[in-house]
This record gives sequence, C-alpha cells and structure tokens, in this order.
Amino acid sequence: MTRARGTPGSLEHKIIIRAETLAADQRMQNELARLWRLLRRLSYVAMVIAAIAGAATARTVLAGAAANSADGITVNFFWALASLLGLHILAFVVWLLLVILLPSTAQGGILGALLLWLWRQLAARVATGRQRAAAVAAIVTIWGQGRTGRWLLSILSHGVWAGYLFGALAMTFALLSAQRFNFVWQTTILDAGAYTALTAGLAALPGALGLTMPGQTAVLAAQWPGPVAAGNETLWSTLLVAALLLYGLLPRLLAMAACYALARRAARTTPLDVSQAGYARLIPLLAPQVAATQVIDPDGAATPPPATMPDLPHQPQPPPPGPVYLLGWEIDTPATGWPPAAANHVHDLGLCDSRDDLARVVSALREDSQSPARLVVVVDLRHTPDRGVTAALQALQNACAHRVFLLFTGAAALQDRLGQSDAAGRLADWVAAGRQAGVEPYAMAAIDLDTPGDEARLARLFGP
Amino acid sequence: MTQCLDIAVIGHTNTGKTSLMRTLTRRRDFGEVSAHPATTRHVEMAELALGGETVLRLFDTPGFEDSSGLLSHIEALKAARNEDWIETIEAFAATPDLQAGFTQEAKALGQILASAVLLYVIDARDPVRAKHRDELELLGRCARPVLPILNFVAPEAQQQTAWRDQLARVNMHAVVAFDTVVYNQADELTLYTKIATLADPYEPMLTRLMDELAAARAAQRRASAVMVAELIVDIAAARRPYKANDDAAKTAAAADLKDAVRRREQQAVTALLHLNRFGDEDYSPPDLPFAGGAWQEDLFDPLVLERFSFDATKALAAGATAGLAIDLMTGGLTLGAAALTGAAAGFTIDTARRYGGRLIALATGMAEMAVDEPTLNLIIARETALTAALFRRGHGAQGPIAADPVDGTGLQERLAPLTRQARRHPKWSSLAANPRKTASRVSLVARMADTIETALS
Repeated sequence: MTRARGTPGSLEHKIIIRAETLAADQRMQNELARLWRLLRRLSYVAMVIAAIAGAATARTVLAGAAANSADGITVNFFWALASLLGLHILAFVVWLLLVILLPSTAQGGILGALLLWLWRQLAARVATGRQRAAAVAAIVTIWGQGRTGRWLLSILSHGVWAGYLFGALAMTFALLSAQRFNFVWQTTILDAGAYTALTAGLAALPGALGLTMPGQTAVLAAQWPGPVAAGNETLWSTLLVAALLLYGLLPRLLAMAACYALARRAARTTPLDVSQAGYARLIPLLAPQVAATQVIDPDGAATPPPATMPDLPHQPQPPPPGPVYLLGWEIDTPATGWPPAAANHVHDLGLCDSRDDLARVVSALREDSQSPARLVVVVDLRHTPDRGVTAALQALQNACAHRVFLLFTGAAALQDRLGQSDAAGRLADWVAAGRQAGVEPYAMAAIDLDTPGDEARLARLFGP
Repeated sequence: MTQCLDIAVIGHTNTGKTSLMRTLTRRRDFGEVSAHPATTRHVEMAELALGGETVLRLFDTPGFEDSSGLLSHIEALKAARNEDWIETIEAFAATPDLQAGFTQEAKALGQILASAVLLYVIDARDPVRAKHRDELELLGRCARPVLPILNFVAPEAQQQTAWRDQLARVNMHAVVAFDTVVYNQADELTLYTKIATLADPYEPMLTRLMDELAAARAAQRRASAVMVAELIVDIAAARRPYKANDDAAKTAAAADLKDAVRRREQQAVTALLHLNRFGDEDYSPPDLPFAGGAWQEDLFDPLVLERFSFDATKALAAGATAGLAIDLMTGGLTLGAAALTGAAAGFTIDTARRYGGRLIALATGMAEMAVDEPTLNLIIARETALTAALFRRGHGAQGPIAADPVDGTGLQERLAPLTRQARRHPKWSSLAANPRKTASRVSLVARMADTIETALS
C-alpha cells in the first residue's frame, strides 16, 4: 500500500501496482488456471467437432449423392465450392462489417458467444466457493465485455471456423487423392462467359502464386452435359484446394492473428473502471494527497482541565456603597440599546476593545477620588474568552480594588450558533476566565441584553 | 525536484485553523478541534504529496490570544534591543526568556517566520476588533505574504464586508471565502489559485495539485454514484421465498428480507462514508419503515407477458440462428433439425432461466417476498441525500451529518425504468443465495450511476 501510494501517476496505475504487490492468492491462481484450462479444452473440442462437420460437408458435397460411375464422380464444381465456402464467406463478411461499422456493440461472432455461454454453464456446474465464483466473474468480465472481450471471442469464432475449413480441406484432399472426379458446370440462364469470368476471378490469386489454373478453354470444355474433355481434372482440383486454402483457411487464420494482436493491444490500453465498488474502497487510501502528519514544537505545559460550570447565583450580594461603573468590552451595541435602561444612573465608560481604550478607562478609574462600589463589565458570550480578555479584566480589577462584576450577554445568539451543549461549554470557559482574573463567582451573571425581560436582575446587578 | 512549499495556518484562537487543516487534508482526525479557546497548543504539520513527493507542508499553529498584549510586548522589546521588527520577532520566537507568558504566540510567530505563505483564518461571524487589528499589524511586520481566509461564511455572513474593508486597509486585497464546515470545491480551487499568486515559483506544482484534487474528486463522485446504484440493484432485485398461505412463514420471510436489506444499506453507508473519508460515527441511517407490504411481480401482468414474449422471441431467434449455422456448416446434413432444436433449446433454456424457478415455485405453492416500492424509494432518497451531504461536508465539520431525504427531486421517477429492470433479475442481487454479476447488470449499474451523478450535480 505504501509503495502504491508513493508511486507517481494515476489512481488506476496505483491500483495496478497495489494488485501486483499484494501477495498473490494461490487458491485464486489455481482456480483461474483451472477455468482457463476448461475454456481451452472446450475450444479444442469445438474445433474438433467443427473439423468433423467440415469433413462431413466436404464428403456430402463431393461424394455424397452422386453415383460412382466408371468415369469417376461428376461434380458441379461451382456448386460444390459455394457449398464449402459460401457460409464461411457470408459469416466472415458479416463479422467484418459489424466490427468495422458497429465497433461499440459488435460481439465476437455467434460461435464465440455460444462457446463462452457453454463454458459458463459448465463453470457454474463446477463452481463452488468464493474463489471459484470470483474467478468465473473475472474471466466473464474479460471475455464478455468491452474491446478485449470482443477480440477474444472473435478468436474463438475464427478458431472454430478454421477447424471447419481444415476438416473440409483435409477431406477434399483425401477424396481427390482416392477418387476420380469430373468437374463440370451447368446453367439454365447464364452463359459460358459468366463462368469464364468467375473462374478467372477465382484463379487470379492462386495463379499469381504460380499455380496452373483452368483457362478459358478448360471452362468451355467443362460445360455439362456435353462432350466433357478429359485431362482438366488436375486443373480444377488445384483450383478447388487453392480456393479452400486461400479463400477459406488463410483468411480465418489471418483474422485470428489480427484479433490476437488487437486483443493484446486492447488489454494493454483498456482503462480500469476505477468506479467499481471494489476499487472505490481504495480511492481514499491511494489518493495523491495523503497527509502525513507530525507534531513539531510540542507544548510543554499540560493542557488545562476544561472549565467546570459553577452555579451562577441569580442575585449577587448587596454592593458596598460608592459609584457604579459600566463598561462594554469587545461588544456591539446590544439590541436593547446602550447603556441598559436599568443602568441609567451609573457611570457609563462606553464600549471599548483596544489597548488605548483600556488605558483610558484604567486611568479614569484610578483618577476617581471615590473608590468604586463595583465595575460591571459586559462581555459577549459569542467571543471566545482568550488571554487578552483575562489580561484586560486583570487590569480593570487592579484599577477598581477588585470589584469587577461580569455580565455575559448574547446567550441566545450563541446558542443559535453553537447548539446547547457547546454554548454551555462556552459559558463555563467565560466563568473560568473570570475566575482567573479574580472575579468571584457571585459577581458573574448571564443576562442577555439583546432581549428585554430580565430588568429585575439587571436592576439588582447595578444596585440602587 | 520541486521545492516544498511551507504554509502556516494562523489566526486568533478558536477561528477554525485546525478545521481548515482537516478540510484541506481530508483528514478528520487531524489535531483536535473544540469550541474552547487554545485547543491547539503546539505546531502540527501535515504533508501533501504529489507522485510520492512532498510538495506542500501545512503547519497548524496555536492561535493568538492576547494579541494586543503581544504587540505591546514586542514593541517594548524592539525599543529595548534597538533592532528592526524582523530581528526583534526572530529573537522573541527563538528565546524563551523573552517570551513572558506569550509562549503560544511565540510558537506561532516562529512558524510564521519559517513559512513562505501565511493563511490567516478569520471567523467571519466575529466583528473586527482591536485585537484583530493588532494581529494584522504584527503580521505586517513579519514580511510574509498573507492570504486571509474567511471561515464560517456559509451560515451567516454579516461581517464579511467589514472584514474585507479592514483587510484592504492593511493592504490585503486577496481574500478567500472558504468554509471549513460546508465544503465547496470551487472555493478550494480559488484558495490554491490565490496561494499560487502569492508564491509564484510554486505555481506549476499548485496547478498539478489542483488537477489531482479535481481528478480525485471526480473519481470519488463517480464511485459514490456507483455505490448507490449497486445498492439500489441489490435491494430492488432481492427476493425471499416463503410458503404461500402460511402467515408465519411470510412474517419470517419479511423479517429476513428486512434484516438483509438493512445490513446492505448499512454496508453502503459505511462504504460511502469511508470513500469520502468520513467515519461511521458521522452518520447512522434511521430505521427502515418496512411495511411488510411486498412487491410482487404478477406473472400474468400484461407488462410481464409482453416482456416474456419479447424475451421468448429473442431466445427463439438466437437458438434458431445458432442451429441454422450448424445446419449450413454441415451442408444441410441435419436437414434443418439443428435450427429447430436450437430454437427450441434457446427458448426452453432462456425461459427456464428467467421464469423457471418462479414457475416451479408457483406450482409447489411457494411465493416470493420483495421490497415494496415506497421502501425502495425511501432508500434511494436517503442514500442520494447522504451522498450529496458528504460532497458538501468539510472535514473540519463537527456535528452529525444532516442528510434528510428531499422529496420532489424526480430521481426516483427517472430511476424507475432501471429499477424495474433490476426487479426482473433476482440473481442480480448480492443478497441472493447464488448471485450473478452479468454484463447486463454491469451496464444497468452504470446507467443508474449516470442518472444519480446527474441528479447530484
């Protein structure tokens, strides 16, 4: 996994690296090997059956019905050739057209599909256990789908046809060796010219390869009934065998080789479908931006225990005599206005948040000849209490003989923002910050200045 | 060899620095996050790698707390030592004796001086205070490019304008709104683009990083959609046989099916969470209101009969074609017997494969239980809502995932023809005793995933 993650390149590449690195499951390998063997044997059996069929066809066509007369067997040459090669050529052309014209949907021929289907039935019979099912699925995925599958199935189809043509060729050769044939042709509606042209066409390729082919005289001489001239049988036999070889077996073998090459190429270039559930699991693990994390510069001091929530008394104790001051620290003007109606009679120091403001307030407090009875500092619960707040509160405590009272506002807005439990935690943090600045628990109260309704408590807080 | 870009994530305490780290690294277990102040008390690093090579290092720092006090302290230091700002800050960060209770801030400042770019995280819900202005002044003295990040912009953004004005005043005009809780891919790309403008030599690397992030995101989207599609196929095709006219057996079958479906859904939820790098604790699906009302394919339903005759014709044709090929190959020896046999075999095998089990079941007095339509639709709505919620969730998010299924997306209607197809193939369900993953199933899942992906975007 580590090696795969560190490999440069796409997710697909990483998945393949990972698959290669994983220890190969021997049972799975055995299972795959067995199923491959099954498929290979099935293909051989199909080819042998096709070869037998080809031989049978050749026998029927050449020596099936006709009587064996003393002059040999009279066979309609073109009819025999069409019977032997017609279907093969038709199927081949259809396959070629499908592959060229409908490359996305074309399958690898009906014979290949039939073989795969048969194999699947057999595999299902012998399938037991997880490995087997997974192996069957793996092979079906490769053979039954996509470009690779199309070329592989095509190889099967061509293989079966090659078997058939080989059988036909072998039987034809055997019959030609052991029996005497008179090759003739006849027609009702065509003239001799058509057959001359056909023969010339068929003979072009074998002729080019140096074989002696029947010429015009031979064609004319072979019309039946008529005085069939002897001596041309060798020519016709050569053409028959050459046609079977060059127009039958050879194209199939060439197509097989081409499909093999195409399958190899397709297998190399087919992208892995990384959206499949099994691979998707790996996406986060192999993602390019894996974050290795490391603590540097660790904190020496132990984390302070979370602040606990003291019981806030609703009514702070009665204040000592003296003036009452009011200060808003890092707050916006509350919805009910500033100063609060209940604090109309107190000395308002205003809203402030800066160190200059703080210095001004501290000197104002110090310069007051009368020692203040209390300084009510309003803070906003939405703010996180930080050391800056504690430091400011401490400065204020020092300036007013430790008579700071804390009023927490903004509880409703905080609850909207954080939810109930985190809001309670925040209040506890504020209480802890207050304690740290030397504010007694009785001198703290949570009254929301944004919503009216707590005037009685406010009045008590600000004193008479 | 690309150089590694060091970025320090800084800001006032409790503004979401660690949350930003989590969202950028997709690691919800990075550091510690709470609503309390000073949760992070050390510098913690996360590396981002491209092709096995570390290209970006993000440093999470303790937040500033007493910023005004810190500024006063450093001003005093500077005056006492008669040095310039950078020298004073360097000395302060390096010498514990000079730190006077500002150890948290000293760690942050030390990391700031060691980094090429600073991400200054702002809780955009907070108004601009003097302490923030003091922080910005101090940052200005550090002579490092700063990119302010407005966090928590999604729910309430009243203070954004005030923040942008204030930042413009200290010459920070490039500001990124990036919510660590509500993830937005475009915002993340904007963030990296702006970092690239601040750290010019790293631009090609950052472009590659953005490309890989986008590609990973796309793969994740697709995989999520495929997961939901697989779940739908598995559940739509699930069957449980029971003896007809036996109420106890029917109840047992319903309970068994419900249990299997629930476990399958939980499995999908876990897989979705893990795929998107969240944990099981982030979400748990509510119980399934399985009415016990079973969906039953009536074998004599006109739709089924129509489908059946279509199937039969296809099978007949396929069998006959194969037979015909054999007939022709053997030069008519078989006199068309192969074609006939092939047709008959194709028809019989196909029919038996598709309907045989159920016909036998009918004949032997068995019936089948399937998941009813409302339950299936509920699961579709629930899992697509969860997937959508996961796409929108930043890894800094703390609360549980809110994934209430929304009605009226029309997704169920668009999926209906596809789920009907899944219904017809009990073996396509992974909940079946002997499941089969055919090419048609794969293609159905792909088409479903397309529909889901379209609906999610």
